[in-house]
Amino acid sequence: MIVHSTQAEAAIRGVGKPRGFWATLWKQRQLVVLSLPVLFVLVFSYFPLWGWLIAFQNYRPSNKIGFFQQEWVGLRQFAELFADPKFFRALRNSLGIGALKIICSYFFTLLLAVLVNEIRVSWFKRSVQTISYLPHFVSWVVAANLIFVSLSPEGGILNEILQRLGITSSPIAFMGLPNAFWLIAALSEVWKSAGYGAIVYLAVMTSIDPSLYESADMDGAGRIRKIFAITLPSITPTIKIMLVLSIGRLLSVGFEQIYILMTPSTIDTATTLEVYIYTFAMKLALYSKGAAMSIFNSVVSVVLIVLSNTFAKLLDGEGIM
Amino acid sequence: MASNAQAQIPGGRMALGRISARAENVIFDSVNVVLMLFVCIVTLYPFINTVAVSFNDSTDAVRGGIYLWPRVFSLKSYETILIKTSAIPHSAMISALRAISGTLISIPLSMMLAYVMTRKDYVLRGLITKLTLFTLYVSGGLIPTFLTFRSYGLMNSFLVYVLPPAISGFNVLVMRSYIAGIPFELTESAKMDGASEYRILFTIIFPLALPVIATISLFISVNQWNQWFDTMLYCSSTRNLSTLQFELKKVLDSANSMSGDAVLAEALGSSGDGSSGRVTTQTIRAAMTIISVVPIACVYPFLQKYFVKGLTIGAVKG
Amino acid sequence: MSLKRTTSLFLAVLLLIAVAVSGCTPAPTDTTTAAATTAAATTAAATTAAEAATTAAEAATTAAAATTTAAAAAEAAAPAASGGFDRTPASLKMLYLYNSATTYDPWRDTAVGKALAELTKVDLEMEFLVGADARQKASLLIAAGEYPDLLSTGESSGDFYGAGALIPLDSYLDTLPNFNDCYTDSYYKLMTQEDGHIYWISYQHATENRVYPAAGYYLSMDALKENDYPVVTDFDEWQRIIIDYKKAHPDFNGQPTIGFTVPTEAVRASAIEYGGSRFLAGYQNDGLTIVEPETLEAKIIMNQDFQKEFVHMMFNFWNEGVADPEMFMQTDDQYNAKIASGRVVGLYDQRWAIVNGLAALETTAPERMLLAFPVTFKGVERERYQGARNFTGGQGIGISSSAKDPDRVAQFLSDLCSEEAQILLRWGIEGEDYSVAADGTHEKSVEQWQSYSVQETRHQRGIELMTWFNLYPNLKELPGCKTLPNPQLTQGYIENVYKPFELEFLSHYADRGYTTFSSWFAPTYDAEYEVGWSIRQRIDPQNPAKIAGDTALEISLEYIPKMVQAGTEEKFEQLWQEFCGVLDTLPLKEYEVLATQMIRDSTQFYK
Repeated sequence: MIVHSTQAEAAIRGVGKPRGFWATLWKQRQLVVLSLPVLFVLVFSYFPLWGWLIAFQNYRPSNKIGFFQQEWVGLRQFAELFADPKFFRALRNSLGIGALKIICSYFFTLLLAVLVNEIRVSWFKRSVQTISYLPHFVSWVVAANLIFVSLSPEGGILNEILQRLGITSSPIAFMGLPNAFWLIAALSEVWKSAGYGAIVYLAVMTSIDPSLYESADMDGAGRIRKIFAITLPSITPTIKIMLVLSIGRLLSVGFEQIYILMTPSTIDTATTLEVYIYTFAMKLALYSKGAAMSIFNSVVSVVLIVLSNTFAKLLDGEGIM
Repeated sequence: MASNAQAQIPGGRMALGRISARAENVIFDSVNVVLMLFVCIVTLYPFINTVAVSFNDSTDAVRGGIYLWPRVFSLKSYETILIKTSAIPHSAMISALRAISGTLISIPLSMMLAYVMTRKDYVLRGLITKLTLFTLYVSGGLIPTFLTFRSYGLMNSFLVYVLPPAISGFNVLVMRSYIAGIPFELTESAKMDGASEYRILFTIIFPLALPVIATISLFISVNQWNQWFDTMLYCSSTRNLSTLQFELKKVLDSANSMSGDAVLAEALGSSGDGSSGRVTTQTIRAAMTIISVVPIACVYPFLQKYFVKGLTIGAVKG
Repeated sequence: MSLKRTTSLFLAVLLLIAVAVSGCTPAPTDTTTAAATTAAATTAAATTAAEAATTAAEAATTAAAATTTAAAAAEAAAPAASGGFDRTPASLKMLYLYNSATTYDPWRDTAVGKALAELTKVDLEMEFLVGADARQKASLLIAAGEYPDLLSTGESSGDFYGAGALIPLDSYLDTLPNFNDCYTDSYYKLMTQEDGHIYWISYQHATENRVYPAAGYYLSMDALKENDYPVVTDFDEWQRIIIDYKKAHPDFNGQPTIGFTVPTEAVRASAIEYGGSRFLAGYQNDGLTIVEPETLEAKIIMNQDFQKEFVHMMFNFWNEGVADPEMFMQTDDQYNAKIASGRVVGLYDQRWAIVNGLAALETTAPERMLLAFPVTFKGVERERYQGARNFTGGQGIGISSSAKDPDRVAQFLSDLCSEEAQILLRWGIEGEDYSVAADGTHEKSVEQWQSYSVQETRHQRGIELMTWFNLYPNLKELPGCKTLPNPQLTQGYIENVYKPFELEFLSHYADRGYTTFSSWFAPTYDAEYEVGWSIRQRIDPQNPAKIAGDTALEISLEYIPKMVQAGTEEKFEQLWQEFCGVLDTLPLKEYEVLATQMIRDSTQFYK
């Protein structure tokens, strides 16, 4: 093993020799061929980015005038966005819900994967896996109805439980509590997506060498110790990449869920950037404002991802980029 | 993180102290089974509830209060969707084709990218990683994307379903982190034997990466199966390319559209207030959910056989 | 460089090209998957071909049928087919910018649709809105510059007009028959755009609700019975009945009675934002504004005193424990479920929004059915719940600039305006759906009325389904048959539509001369200006004034729950002032000025 890595390092050093970039590229032409699928990304993801120009226009769909004949307004769309106090309220909510979602989803998904992995009875393990991923397929409209009904102050199951246990004396109107909204959004997301998200971890866990567990058994290690000493370290790369990826999506809270779960009583805490932009731009067909918002979102995401990548590198010398 | 996880597991390591590993195992297993049963109940309930609502009489369901079984049994919702909507079988086939061909196209392409990203000596590695990663966070917006794809000639073409989503940053990076975990010695020795990169990728990496390929296949096919927005954008005027989700969306919209007096009210203008009338039909929605979920939910148990412990390591040693 | 490597490189490139071109990929290590893919692709191609063949065959059959029958019909139906362009059999596409009401094709799969196809010799392919909102769909069409032959403009009339998506119809309206039967000169003026041309013909003709009113303050039959069958018109009395009933009957079926509830799901919140209060003050539905009948001045509702009183009513209900505790946190499904349970004593809404709830209520507790009343504040002399008989030209059907043969499309529209087509669309097929009486008017038997009054059976025939082709005025008798085009406005319908429990309930009102649930509402009256909600649709969406109006709605929705749950009068007052302060920062005045101007300008077309 050691020998091999030294050889590999030698190979890398070889690249560093003053052979020139093109020469190395020619040497790695097979890898270049294997990189060709990146063309898909260029063609289907990056080329449409010309649309960002819309953010600097006052765009109205038209086939009468050409794209460049649209009214150009410079940074006005951005200025208008940043001048609106409601934008910052929405930003606050997006950050809050986004962060809470990442923390909860991330933690519970991993916990679920670890616990499912520890199930010893094969059929039970498979059943738990299959059942726990079912909510992913239920649309938010259907899910929201169940959430509203379970949290209802009128005979909702949660209030029944709380009252029977004597925790509260009168029923709580959860869906109308502005302070509860962030948590409801985060936990309902966990409920809907933890099982689906756990699949990745479960797949990676299959690659852990069983002999590691066997030797740990001989050392008399308990289950919990094995989780922390073997299971989690073995899937660290995946844990890390999932975290970095989700941090990049901090502001993408998920429009449908929030829009359906919010009520007039919770507008103040529930209006995320996506809801804000839908209400004040997309619903009114103000595409330029929507594009400005989308650029803002992308910039924030890229900054976040670079930051978290740098942080990951600081931690153990290896980032994802 | 770690301390959190500990607190979550009842008992935790500290409380157990010096109890023997065997006793710990027993306690752990029992607690775990109870927890997992709880997870099953909480996640299975919405599904059972949806089944119950879907088999209930439509008018009666408006009253709400249906939990585990239908109150007034009726097959009418399924009849409305399956029998009265003649496009369902064909659109289901298109959806299945999407899911299958989308996966078959995407998997090798994603593997290729994921593989080159694990090659630390590759000069374009950084560029390709960044290009792939950032696709997750940038979008040209609805209209520019639509116009671009249109200029590619993807309107009313099956290709629009499978080509644009072929490379997903998320899937590629998940694959990459898995491939990166495959012992270096394997590929290195093959290289010394003079194997080409293609050979390494498709004959050595590919079988070792089966668990992650199964996972990503699941993600792709589920995603493909659930799509309807691209049908609306690019293929809504070509009936042959309609997908199941799009047809179901039509059923739902028709159930939601204004009915009876509403039409009259609209003509009168008194509903000029909320011009998109909403009359929800819960049973139709529920039946739709069941019809679309059951086929795709069956994919996972089928793929589970690839999640066999020790597959990778076994191959390495053998 | 070995030959092997070159070959493999070449193969890899080929593979990529193949992938890009054919959309299927051979997985190099797995021949079975490759085979499967190919098989799948072949199946797809085969199916597509088969489908195409079937469609072609069907089209041929239809065409053949159309030709043979048309030849015969051409002579028989000469009057309807006089003048105009050739009626060569044509295939047209049309987009209707709303959802479809049915899962089947209204033109090809219904008896009426087939009869119309025969009459017009047009095979119409209808496309509806699916999963997108109207403006989104319109934006995409406009950006691409490609349209179906016919467009129903929906809420996007302005977008289509601005983009030049429609062709002027003026010359057709003059030369082709039938249009002038449907539209008067003032109607034409209402449909005329800024550039002096008409681009669409409206199907939004004035009508009335003669059986159930469209909007009102609802009370349950049981509460009415306890109060000895009153006709409730006073706001205080309406509140008193609710409060008393809730006190006398705190429970129903083991669950608490709900004195008052409102729809608050985002898309339906207009009832509390502005929809309910204007009627109390005696104004008609003018969208976001009220219009002073004397001066024709438009005022935004959200910060008016009468809106404050409406919110204060909810505040009182809340404090008295009469209001639904879940009022501001329920989905539309929950709202309808409550109505269906029979627990609701009173509410304000438009009938179309609660028909599902009412239909279910009819099966569970018909004796608690909810009925609407024209409730007003004390001192309001005239109520205008039913509003003006208003023709609006804001949206309609137009011919797109992509239409290959606009003349043929115009001929199709003209044919649809004919009496024959209008009767088919709304009364159905003679002998099957209606019969002709001795005096030439149309009538239905009891069975036919029954079949008609159930929406589903009516739609399956294709009757009253293609409402976008209701081009003839609802309130004007068709000249040939001396019958109103809309069967729901005829006496026969009114006599046959009520259920026994409704007739029993109405009998208690008979001595006061009330025979329908609409009869205690003031009748409709002639419109004097273009109604406010239509004005709102016409204002450019990018106009800051219009954006201000929409923003005010969002703010309103946020403040109303706070005010209702304020607890004390002081707090309520303080919140109201705060709310008005926030609204004052918006350019709402500009909306009022603009709307007033447009309304005053429109009066010239309503004389």
